[in-house]
Amino acid sequence: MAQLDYKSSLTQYRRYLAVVREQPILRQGLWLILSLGLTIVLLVAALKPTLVTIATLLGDIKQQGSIEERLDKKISAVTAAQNEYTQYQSRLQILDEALPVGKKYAVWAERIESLAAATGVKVTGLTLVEGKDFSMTLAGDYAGLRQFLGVAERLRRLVDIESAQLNKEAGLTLIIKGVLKSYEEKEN
Amino acid sequence: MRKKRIDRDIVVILIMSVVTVCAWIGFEVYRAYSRRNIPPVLSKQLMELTPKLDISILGRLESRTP
Repeated sequence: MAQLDYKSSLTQYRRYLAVVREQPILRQGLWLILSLGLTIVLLVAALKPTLVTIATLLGDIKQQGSIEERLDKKISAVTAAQNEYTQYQSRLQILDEALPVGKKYAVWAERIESLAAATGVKVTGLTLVEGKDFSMTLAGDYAGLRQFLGVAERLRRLVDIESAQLNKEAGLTLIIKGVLKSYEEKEN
Repeated sequence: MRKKRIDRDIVVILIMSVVTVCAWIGFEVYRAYSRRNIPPVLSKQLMELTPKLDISILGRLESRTP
């Protein structure tokens, strides 16, 4: 009975071998599918993070090299600027007079007043909006007003005279409108 | 015969997946390499500076009435 079972099993196995021999691609296909699946898993789980890390580090090294080069140039420029500043330091005070930091209009107003007195005209009105837009009304004779305007244009403190209007009513009046310049530090 | 066809389809899909994954990895690597992340303070420090003073302006200012 046992010998009979053995023969039966052998027959089944031979039949299986025959099928496998006829369709070997089934087995090869299985291994190919498993290999491709493993390749995808390895690519996503192992190779990608490694390559991304390497690329990030290489990019950082390149970027830091570029920054270092630019900083070296900046240091050289700052050193050159410092030398230039030391050389002309005594003359740079004039910049504060011409273009002061902040709206220092009091000094300018006093200078206008003394200029008016020197040219023989009278300041009848002076308005300043936000410390920079000014409107000034002067009264006097033509020669004095003309002299005043000529000197006011050439004052060291920089102003943009936008309009000068000469009116003749009871006497001659000159209305000057303009902008008082000052230095404002840029945000960026 | 049908089983053989299914196997072939799976292999084609897997090969396409490998190609897609390779392209994805390539783009990710390029993006990681070319990413710029300079902090803003450093960007301000890196602004170019011209170390030359315009002396002619000083001369013109000196010639104006104080």
